[in-house]
Amino acid sequence: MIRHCMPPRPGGANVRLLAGRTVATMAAALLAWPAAPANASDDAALALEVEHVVTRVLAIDGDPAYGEYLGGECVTCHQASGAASGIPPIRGLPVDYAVQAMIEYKLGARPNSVMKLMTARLSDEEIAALAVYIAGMED
Amino acid sequence: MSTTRTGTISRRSFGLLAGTGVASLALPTYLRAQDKPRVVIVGGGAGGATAAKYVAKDSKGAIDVTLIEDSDTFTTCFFSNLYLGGYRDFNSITHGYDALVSTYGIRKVTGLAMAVDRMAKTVTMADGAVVPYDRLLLSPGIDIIYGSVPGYSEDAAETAPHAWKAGPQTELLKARLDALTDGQNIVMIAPPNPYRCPPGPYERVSMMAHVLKSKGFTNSKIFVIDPKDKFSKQGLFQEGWDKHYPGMVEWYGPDVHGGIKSVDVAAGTVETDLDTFEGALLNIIPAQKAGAIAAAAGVAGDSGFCPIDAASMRSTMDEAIFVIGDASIAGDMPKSGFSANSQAKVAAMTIRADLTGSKAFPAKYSNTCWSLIDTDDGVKVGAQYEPKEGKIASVEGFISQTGEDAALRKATYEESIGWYDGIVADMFS
Ligand SMILES: Cc1cc2nc3c(=O)[nH]c(=O)nc-3n(C[C@H](O)[C@H](O)[C@H](O)COP(=O)(O)OP(=O)(O)OC[C@H]3O[C@@H](n4cnc5c(N)ncnc54)[C@H](O)[C@@H]3O)c2cc1C
Repeated sequence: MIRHCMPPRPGGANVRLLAGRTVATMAAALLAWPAAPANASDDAALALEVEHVVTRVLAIDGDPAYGEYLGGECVTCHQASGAASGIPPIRGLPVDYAVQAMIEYKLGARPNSVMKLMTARLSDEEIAALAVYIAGMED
Repeated sequence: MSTTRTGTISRRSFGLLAGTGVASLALPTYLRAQDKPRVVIVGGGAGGATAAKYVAKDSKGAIDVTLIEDSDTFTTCFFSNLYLGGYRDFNSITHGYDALVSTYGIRKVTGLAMAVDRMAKTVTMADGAVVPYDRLLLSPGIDIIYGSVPGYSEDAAETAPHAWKAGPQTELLKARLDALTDGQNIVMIAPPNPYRCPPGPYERVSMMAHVLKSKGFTNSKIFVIDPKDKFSKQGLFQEGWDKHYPGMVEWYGPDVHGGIKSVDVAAGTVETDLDTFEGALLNIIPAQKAGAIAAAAGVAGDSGFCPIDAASMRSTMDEAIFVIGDASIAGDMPKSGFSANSQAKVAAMTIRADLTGSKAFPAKYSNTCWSLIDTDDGVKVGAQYEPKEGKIASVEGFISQTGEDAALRKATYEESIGWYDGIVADMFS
């Protein structure tokens, strides 16, 4: 049941955890979205911080019920069915990918202002809960 | 909608039986099913449709959900400005309730709710049908206060549309806009605070200017007579108007026009202290209040809107009633479809907790409003909110910046399309 307790992958915060391990089409769609500003590779401190927080969050057991409530905020824009037009789909994203993405938005390593807003005040527990919900949307 | 009718009747007869003291245990099983707690929702718009879906979906059949909505379909005010601008057709902003009924088992009652008996916990419909509830959620949107603009009336709106409720008014405004010729002017009276969709009037100005400019009608002007001395995203809109529609938009705040004295829709004039403005098209957007059912239920305050508990969207006047969306006094949150959708989720969670003992988490709300200024030139403003010292308070926010590059503005517009498809799916499928 604890689907997300896989160890964080080595290789730094900006490694795309999804590539090569999930449905190819979904990976392609996601890769079309900017992962980080162009200067992110220069920003080693930010990358380190992201990695640090990702590791911390992945160690938490996310509460699926809390995730489902919080996830109500996601599905206003990211369609629960997985359909997408203009906003990337999140349905069924692997836990580690979703955690990484939320933390990158929160810490400013990804640029979108709405996502930065939505993640700005999320606690570690809330990110963990949301990731469990997002991964489970397919079930 | 025959199932709806049948459902209503059986619920009514159950109400009568129960009222005459027949013990529910003695009832046949098909009536015992009615022992489930009953949630009645008035208004199938941004707030009500979302609330109905979330109560039904998350209670997995444990709650009986009835959605009372006057219309068979819902045309969204959101993106109705894009319809005016020629970016969307009317069908694409109109949605049905079929999935709410078939997928979530919601009973849709089509008609106007007229009265609420808070002692008996019933809603009475215009046709006399009585719908009992354990929890009532009101999301009736706004009513227009026609008299707030001297000379304006419901009849006058057939000539000078407000188009602040989407539907025939929106189609009328579009037809009138499309019929203008070069050099003919538009006069808009913008609404006073608080009103539905703070950036809405100014997005509309942009879309009307876009239509005129696209036809080369650059001798036409749009005069905006505003009772407010500033407005939402003002810097962004004014920058956009100068850039895309130079010389076509003139905005007058109260310090310049001195006050709106009257309108004459037949003559096409708006008289202010400063001057009389003439337009071949008048778009009059008056002051607003909560939809009439809120006052009929006795849950609206002096302002015409409904005070709520910031942590749950429960009416402060009746613990069995919730008010969400434009009708509520939601602190720092703007009256928007996004806000109504967000409030619906908090209310739905609280209602389920009331009736089934499910867990309630701390309330969180959010909003983002996208506006289109011209083709591929989108801007946005957003915030997150939490209950704080008895009101819903903004805790974090952002706004698009003036001078942003074209690629970012285009991405913002594309994101708004994704949001529209997303919120509509969240409401109706
Ligand atoms: C031009 C314009 C542009 C806008 N653009 C945006 C935007 O881009 N983004 C955004 O988030 N918001 C936007 N909005 C605001 C948004 O439309 C409203 O804030 C939102 O619809 C409010 O939701 P609601 O549930 O409170 O009311 P509504 O969505 O208006 O729903 C109320 C429903 O209740 C029904 N009803 C009322 N009384 C009764 C009764 N007694 N019995 C039966 N049925 C009843 C009505 O028929 C209606 O369907 C815009 C508004 C306008 C006018």
